[in-house]
Amino acid sequence: MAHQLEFDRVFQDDLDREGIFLPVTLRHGEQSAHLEAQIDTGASCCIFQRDLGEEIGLDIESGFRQQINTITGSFTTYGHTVVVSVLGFDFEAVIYFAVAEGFTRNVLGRSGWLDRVRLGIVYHDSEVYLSSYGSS
Amino acid sequence: MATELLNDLMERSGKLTPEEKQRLARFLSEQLRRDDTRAQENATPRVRHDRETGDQSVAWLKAHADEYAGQHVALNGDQLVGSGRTIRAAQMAAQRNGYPHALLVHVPPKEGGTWGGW
Repeated sequence: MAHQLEFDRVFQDDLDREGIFLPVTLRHGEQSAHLEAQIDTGASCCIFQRDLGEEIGLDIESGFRQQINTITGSFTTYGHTVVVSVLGFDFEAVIYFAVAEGFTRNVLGRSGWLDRVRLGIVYHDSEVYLSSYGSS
Repeated sequence: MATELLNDLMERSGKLTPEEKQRLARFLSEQLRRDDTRAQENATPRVRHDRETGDQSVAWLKAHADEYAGQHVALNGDQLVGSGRTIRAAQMAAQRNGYPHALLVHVPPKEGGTWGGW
């Protein structure tokens, strides 16, 4: 039995990189930051580098403190409510900013992004299909 | 002017090798795809975001994270308007309580922690 899903957007990442990256805009009030973030279904939440939070006017350490684990250790983040925009789909969510200045990863994880979209990946063709969960 | 340029490009593309024509076709196809994506993005209405309400939700998380650890919660500023084991359950509870656009948050669990994914 075949199953069919429909998506509103298709994005082709033609860059030869380690991972699948999407263009992202973070907004807080009137301030915004543009970046590319990696889709990471293994990440519990969305995590971004500190300077992006500062760029949109956040006082990082005033947020909700959360220790994030990795297989080699852990690092400290603070959660803030911002709007995450990916391929035109906007979601207000609590996302986390690393405290450490040297942290350079930006990931779209499960809580805050993956839990509010429908996502299809055809890795062979570098294609990402995306819809908001609530869209038809 | 655009038609003249188009005719010129089409005529000149006839001199390309088959491999170059394939590269050109891929390039144009990608340009079309990106234009389409941009047009769709611009047509999508922006989500309203109020900094003060967002800060209130963060304050609620700081105060109640232990109590709701591992659950999904729906917040309207510093007011809890729904909760559940899944995001769907929290969202449905918020809708039933009259808050269809509540902020949905997964409260990190006490045990097992939060993972960075790499």
